Amino acid sequence: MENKQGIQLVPRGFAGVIARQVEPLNSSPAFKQAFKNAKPLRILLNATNADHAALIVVENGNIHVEGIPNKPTSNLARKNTRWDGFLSCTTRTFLELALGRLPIVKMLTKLLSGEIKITNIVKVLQFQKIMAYLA
Amino acid sequence: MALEKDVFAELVAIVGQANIDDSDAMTDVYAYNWCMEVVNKMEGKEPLPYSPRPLAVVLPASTEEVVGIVKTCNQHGLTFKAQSTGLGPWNNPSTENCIIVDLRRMNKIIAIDEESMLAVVEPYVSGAQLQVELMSRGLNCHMPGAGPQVSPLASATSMSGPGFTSPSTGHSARNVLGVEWVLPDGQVLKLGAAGLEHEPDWYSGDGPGPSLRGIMRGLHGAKSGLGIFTKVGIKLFPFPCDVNWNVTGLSPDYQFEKPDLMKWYIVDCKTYKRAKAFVQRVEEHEVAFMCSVLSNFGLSAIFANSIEKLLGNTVLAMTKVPVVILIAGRTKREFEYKVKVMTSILDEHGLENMAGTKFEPPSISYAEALRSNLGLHGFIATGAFQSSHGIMDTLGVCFKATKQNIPVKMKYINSEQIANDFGEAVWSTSFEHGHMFHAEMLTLYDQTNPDSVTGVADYFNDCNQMDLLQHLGIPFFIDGDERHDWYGPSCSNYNAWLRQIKEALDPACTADAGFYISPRNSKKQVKDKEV
Repeated sequence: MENKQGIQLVPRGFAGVIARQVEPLNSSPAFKQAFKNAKPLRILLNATNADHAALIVVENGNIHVEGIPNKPTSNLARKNTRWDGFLSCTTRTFLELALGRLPIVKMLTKLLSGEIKITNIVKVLQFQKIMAYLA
Repeated sequence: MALEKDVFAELVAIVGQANIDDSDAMTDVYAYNWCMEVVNKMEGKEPLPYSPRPLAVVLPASTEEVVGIVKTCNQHGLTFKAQSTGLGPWNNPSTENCIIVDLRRMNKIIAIDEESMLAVVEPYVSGAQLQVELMSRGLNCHMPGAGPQVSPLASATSMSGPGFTSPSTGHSARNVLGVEWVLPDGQVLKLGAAGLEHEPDWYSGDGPGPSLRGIMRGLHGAKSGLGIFTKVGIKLFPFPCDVNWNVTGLSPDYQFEKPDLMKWYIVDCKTYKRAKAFVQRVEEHEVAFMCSVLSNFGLSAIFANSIEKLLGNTVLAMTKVPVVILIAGRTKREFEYKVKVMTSILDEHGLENMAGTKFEPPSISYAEALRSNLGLHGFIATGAFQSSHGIMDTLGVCFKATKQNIPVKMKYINSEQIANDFGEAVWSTSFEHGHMFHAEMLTLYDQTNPDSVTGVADYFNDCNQMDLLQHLGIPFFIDGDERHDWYGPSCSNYNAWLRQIKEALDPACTADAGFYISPRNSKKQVKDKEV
């Protein structure tokens, strides 16, 4: 299901995978408590080899994911999606990052080579903190 | 090729008109099998999931009918390939001069001897059918990793046969007792106690005289290359817990009300070294009904029955070198003892149980573990999977192979031909509480994509090479003339001995030798290769 801008309201593909990972947080009392009064957070994860980026929205102690078509690239511009942090790489690198399988040296190499692009790293790292509530 | 009319008529006279078919529609179906495309590619053919089409399919209902079919094949220079429940390419013909002997009408449980703890079954009895009957008597059978839908007879007599419950139920080669065997020339041979002149029974697979069990099946079985097995006695075990299951819901989301005396342990060992020490300790104490070393994705998969659920098992996917153990007790005292032992071993190794804390196993997983139904989960992610290696040795050798396999596999993951599992996918289990260990490396691929199939085939060839050069044993996929003759010279020339066995029992090569070995100068084999 998409709206007029092509945004997936029920995310599929890469965005769907991300939604699957984070949405169980909505039933975590610890997560809800921690983010109940926090400033809203919007993090855009773009898998360069997928069709839709995943916009993770944390607001009022709830989390949800929207699928944003990543072409044209202007769709991913900050002014359009109002993200606070942005991370872009291949799905494979996302997998390695998410499961803690990317050693620091390799990560730095990928950052320097442009394989991983990050804007506003502090906000992106907040996502890591959010994921910790799943464990 | 087509079956000659007079031969067809002879076969009709044996099994009846309704139990033979040589139509294109039917024979095409029997030419298809899971993983046939990988075998084809490994043999340098097109990566299609079809073997040569059989000339006909015959369905005998008795040993006498099997004998008649085999004798007809001998008389007319045909080969035969027998299949029971038929999973995998090993059930398919390797030549176009072959008829399939589908044993599905031989589907009876002949006997269950509670006192001697053995069952006698025909080829088409599935593990699940047998287990249901055994449960009512408080008994259980070994179930191969292929799952409860496969034939215990086929596994015991003709295949490899490790299973998820191997720590407590051994493997198929260890559980085979007396057998009834139709040799490639049509003679019926009864091995072990079944062959006794006075008071024949099924309690032993050895003797009288020298045992033929090694000749009959060896490590990985002859896969119908030495005839057709029509009855087998198999060893039974006590059912490990309460036999009263309360199952509700619909497939695949059954709900299973688990008996009290069962418990999962999911332990993230992080390193192979730690996992080795932990597993060896658990097996030393003989408390595990099931004990498997998996990879993170393998662990996620066995607790999921859909891609959605697989993706939701994030906590499991974040593990590294996980060990999964099921303990079960027939009495509260037994169960509490096992829990106590497990708690002590976990403390000793500074490990914790994720089950019930970080992850709640679905109730059906207990039933699936009891039934050895976890293997099917390998198909969830890409629709096709197959294992390479197939080591039977110490846990140290199994882990050595697992680690050395990672860079070999990563080559094909990097070329995007097979699914990315970080190269770590493995299923390793003990046999009989650490007597021996087994390891196979699972690979997920896309059966519909020729590039993916090519990748798997090349990878499996690399795995075979690795096992040979690193002295890791004889893997699953060493079968057929070419590969036996490649491996044999490095392994005491076993291929020469194997060939002598084939020549002694089947000089005319009437039993399809595609997944076994053919006799020297077999005209039939040469002719078929030319075809």
